[in-house]
Amino acid sequence: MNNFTIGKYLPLDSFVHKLDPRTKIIMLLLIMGAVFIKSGWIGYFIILGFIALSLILSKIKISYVLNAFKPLIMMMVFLIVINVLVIKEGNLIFSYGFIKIYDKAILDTLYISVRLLIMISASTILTMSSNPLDLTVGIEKLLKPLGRFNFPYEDVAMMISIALRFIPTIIEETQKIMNAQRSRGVDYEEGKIKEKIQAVLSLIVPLFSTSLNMAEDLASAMEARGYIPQEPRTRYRDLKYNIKDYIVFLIGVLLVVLLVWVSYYAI
Amino acid sequence: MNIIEIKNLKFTYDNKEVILDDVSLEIKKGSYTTIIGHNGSGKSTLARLIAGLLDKSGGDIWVNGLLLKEENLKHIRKEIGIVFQNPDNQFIGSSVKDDIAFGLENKCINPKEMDDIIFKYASRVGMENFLDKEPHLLSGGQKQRVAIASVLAINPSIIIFDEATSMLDPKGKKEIKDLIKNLHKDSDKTIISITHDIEEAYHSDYIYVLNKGKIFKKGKPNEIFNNSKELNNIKLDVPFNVKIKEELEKNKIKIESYNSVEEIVENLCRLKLKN
Repeated sequence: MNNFTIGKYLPLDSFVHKLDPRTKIIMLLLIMGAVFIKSGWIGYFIILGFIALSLILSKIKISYVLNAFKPLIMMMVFLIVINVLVIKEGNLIFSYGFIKIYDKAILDTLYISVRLLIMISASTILTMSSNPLDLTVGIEKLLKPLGRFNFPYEDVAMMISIALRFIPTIIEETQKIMNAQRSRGVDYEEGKIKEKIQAVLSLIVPLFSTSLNMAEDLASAMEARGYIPQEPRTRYRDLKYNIKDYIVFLIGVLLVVLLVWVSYYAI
Repeated sequence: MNIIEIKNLKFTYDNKEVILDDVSLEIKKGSYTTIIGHNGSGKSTLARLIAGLLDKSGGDIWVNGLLLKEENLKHIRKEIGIVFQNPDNQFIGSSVKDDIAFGLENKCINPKEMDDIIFKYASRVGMENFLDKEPHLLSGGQKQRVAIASVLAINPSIIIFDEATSMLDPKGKKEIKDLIKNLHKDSDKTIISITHDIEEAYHSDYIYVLNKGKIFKKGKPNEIFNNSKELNNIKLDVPFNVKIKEELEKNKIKIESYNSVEEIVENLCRLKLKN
């Protein structure tokens, strides 16, 4: 289960790490929005440059970010192939049997690839440079205005933080059950599809039942320690905006303004 | 003064399976009471009923003079802290300090004061050097110690240990038992320990023996353990020192006291010297 390191928090001491998680979340949202401004290649280069800069400032090795792409390669290849084959606009540049490839298809596909590259690397930088606990507090604070519309933002944040807390416990439990089933002769690596499905079932059923027990115990423990949903509580972990955060926020807004300007005047 | 009074308590699942039947007991303020019983005797259910985590089917529970019912629940919860059996499933925070902070957050304590309180109670259980550690990096015994610190931080007057040592290795078990003993010695907290550890029960102030949902026997440890046959009949053992005492008596050897194995060894050695 060592491949679980994708997007995992890397506790480093850097400028990006010290930013308020709220700032980072907003920046991610701004970049995600900016990707869809039609500012052509100039725009994409500006955004990529911005991401490269934040990567350097976060002191995260580029290989870590590239690792995050690994599980997505199949999906991206699939997307690119479908796109190239389906879009039928522009000039025909290649034809073989029923396969017809147009120049606009290639261009559009390149755009999509770059967009994906930008979004994935930006979100990877966010999760790698922010402590999940602070990130949860950040999400809670950002969702707070929705509380006015009866959105249970505190409960949502509590659920996220409990989910994060229990990921290692559940992985441990999974390994325990797998070992227990292996010792009873279950083979997880080899066998026909039917046998493999049975093997997975032998893992899922006990995992579900232990998870349910865990949830019940946890609920009792929370209740016993005085947790009442929807009641006011204080927060141990609090966030504070710094001058740095305002500057980064300003840069983010300027970036979007620049891209909008590029989309109107430069192309 | 009795801090907990229970009268004719009944608990059934779906009106069919009777878990507790007509249980009445009193627990003195500041005492260390153990409730022992075989699996399925209803002892854990009793703990959950006292803390208001389950709804009783009949009878009454008074905690600190307050009748346990919906309106008083919030007050009663503040009086009672529970340390549960499974060390993993009661670890709520993502790190030691977050876990201790959880109860403080619920009590609406000012975040600025929390660090001091966390350090105080983490030191009390010897976990002050692990404050930033995540639960999967701690041993079972360490997690239980954190659970005790978390409960202490809420400052309840009653602490219930619901088989808190049963999932630990021998070393962890000993650590937690010693911690409970010290806690009883150093504070005025009432301690209720639900256990099937006979040795632990032997060192408590008062024992209730539960069997099949009924109180089978109650009394001071010496009174409870003077009849091993009776306890063996309900699948409970007697402490090792009591067993030695019985065997010695069979052989007509009398020594002064039997409180611990060490004492017995010492007394037996003296016996030899006298002869």
